[in-house]
Amino acid sequence: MINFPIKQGIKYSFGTPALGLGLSMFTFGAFLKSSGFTIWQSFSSTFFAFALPGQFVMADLLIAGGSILNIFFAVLLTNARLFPMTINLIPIIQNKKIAKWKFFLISHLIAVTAWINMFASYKDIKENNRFEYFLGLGGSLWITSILFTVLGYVCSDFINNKILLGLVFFNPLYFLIMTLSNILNRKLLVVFILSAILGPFLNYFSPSWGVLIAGFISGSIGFFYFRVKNDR
Amino acid sequence: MIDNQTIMLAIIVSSIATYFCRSMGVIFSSRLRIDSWIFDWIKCISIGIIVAVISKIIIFPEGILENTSKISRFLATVSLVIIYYFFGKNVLLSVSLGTAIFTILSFYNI
Repeated sequence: MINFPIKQGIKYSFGTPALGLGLSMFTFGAFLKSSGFTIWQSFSSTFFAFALPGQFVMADLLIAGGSILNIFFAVLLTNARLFPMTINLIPIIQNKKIAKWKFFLISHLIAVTAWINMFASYKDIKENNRFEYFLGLGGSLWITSILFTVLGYVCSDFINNKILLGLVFFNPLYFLIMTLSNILNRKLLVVFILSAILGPFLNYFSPSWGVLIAGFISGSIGFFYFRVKNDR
Repeated sequence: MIDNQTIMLAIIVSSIATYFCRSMGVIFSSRLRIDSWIFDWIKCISIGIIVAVISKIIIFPEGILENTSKISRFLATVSLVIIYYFFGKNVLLSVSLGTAIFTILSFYNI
């Protein structure tokens, strides 16, 4: 039985969030087909390893001839952002009536699109309903992603490669605008600007750790600067 | 061509690596309160990492976007932000037009 908060979450995900993620997954599916994956393998990738940047890293490394251990650590580093994101999201959907193991299950739905949209909308949802709401929001984005991966795989032969390439860019642009729309104070604006500069800069010196270090440094500088400033 | 067994193994290890990050997050979040300073700090770090990922994709992309020009990515991003603020913060319109600009520029190898 789908209750009201779940329906609310599903409804929120429809439109731009689902379209943005869907188009990127569509391209990913097409990319997997050209890389020699089967349809079942493409389906499994999004079903089990749902987080697009990590999925791309996995496929790219496979094509480049990377070892399985290489792939494991590269995906771990690429998806390490999910660790602080999950730490942030779980307390928002925390509810004493819900068993602990369910949080381990629902965490599979945490990815950038779901996270950004949850933060943009959770204050309008009653505390006791937020778990179900996120289940609807994240769950529908996950299912959409799986469907679009398979659709991209199936349709890849009929679509021009350059148009497919354009579609891949929809998602980073969408992430950028959604993040910008969540910048509601000067502290987050400082984090945004610092990170936009530090990210590519540190990535140049350390492609594996650059993004994580840039996020940590800019997040910490933004946070502690305004904490000290406000304490005065 | 990569053999099927290697692909399946890669999917399994990347699923484990991805879920490890999430499950660790669940474990570490158990005593965290929304109104605590640590929650706010971690939110700043999360946003910092997401922005760093986006700017890396735009400036130094890997994989299939690597073959596109810096100028096409830069112009599409600048247009996106301008359209977003010019048209009353319309997300769908700005992202669609930004993507269209990028697609057209890439199509003509600009």
